[in-house]
Amino acid sequence: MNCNHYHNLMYLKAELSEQDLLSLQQHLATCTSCTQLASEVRLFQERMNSIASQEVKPTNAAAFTASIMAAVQAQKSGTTIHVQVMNWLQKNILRYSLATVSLFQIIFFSIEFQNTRNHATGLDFPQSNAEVILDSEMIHDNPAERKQHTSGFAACKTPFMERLAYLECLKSKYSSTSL
Amino acid sequence: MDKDSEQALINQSAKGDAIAFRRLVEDSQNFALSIAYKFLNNMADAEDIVQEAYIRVWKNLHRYDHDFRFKTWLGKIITNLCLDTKKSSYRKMLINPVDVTTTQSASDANETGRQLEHEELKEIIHKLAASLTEKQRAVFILRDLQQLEPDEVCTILAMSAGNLKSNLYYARMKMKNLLEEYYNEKKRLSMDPTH
Repeated sequence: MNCNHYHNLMYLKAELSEQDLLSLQQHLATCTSCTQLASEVRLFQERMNSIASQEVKPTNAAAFTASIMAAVQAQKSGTTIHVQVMNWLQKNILRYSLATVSLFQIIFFSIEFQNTRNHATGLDFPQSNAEVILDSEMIHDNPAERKQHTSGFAACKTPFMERLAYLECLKSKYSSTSL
Repeated sequence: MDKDSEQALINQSAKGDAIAFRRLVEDSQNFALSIAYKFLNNMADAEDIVQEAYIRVWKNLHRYDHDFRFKTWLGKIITNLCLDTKKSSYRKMLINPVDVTTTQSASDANETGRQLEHEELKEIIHKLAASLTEKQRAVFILRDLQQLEPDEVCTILAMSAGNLKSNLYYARMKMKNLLEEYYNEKKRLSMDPTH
């Protein structure tokens, strides 16, 4: 083995196998130039050990622990709420899906009921284009007459009523109010 | 703390037990701070990194691999955070290499490198380490400055034993040469009457 091989080993003395360490020691016993380098490497390692031996501690260990725990607790509360919400949703997914659908249906019917009531009392006047045209056909496009009969026609406006049925209803109301 | 107690505390902490987690923190915070400080050479920055590391540990306790020691896992998280933090600052240090005159105090102008104050040596080592590659710097700090066992360093850096030795060899050789250059320059300046 040449000296270069042992130069490598010198820098890794602490990591060498027993066999390599013995081989290095035998070489150093016979090689003056390698002994010089080995001495320099040893001095370097001693300097590194002096830095490594420095004890690093927080100025106030209890306060440092408290600051870490405070930061963790802040995360914990956020995480816990998030996890609890997710667990709750997962366990009750079917129940709350049905409840959500029911809620939307109630809201929808309430809106429709309100529209119908407003229409009946004459509060709700903006009609769809189709309704205006239909009404105009029934009462010969006379706005004054239309307004007079609107409350009577409002009874025809119910949720899900088809247009044809609505037309029939309007006709019947028109006939009854004309008479 | 023995491994069984450690595992029990980790399991309790993973279930949300803050008291168990506090015991883990108390047992490992000096180790954590030491690694961060060896990388950053600044206590305030090191404390911030350690705090961030424990938050990550807390969030990921359910993913903890029980084959590893808690401190090894913690060391890995801190090392990654420090390497990310130091990327930009190491670049700055490379642009502004070590200035012998600025690290030399009037009182020790005639001292040789061997007699350098401990704090000064630490400061120089930290600055010189900026010239190492990221892997060389990490193995050098963890193995030589923190004195972790080779297998722990391999686990923390996800590195083979051969790769560790290779990086360690180049890191030590470069650092030794740079340190000698620094001492020689310092000696030359102390003997130069114009300085």
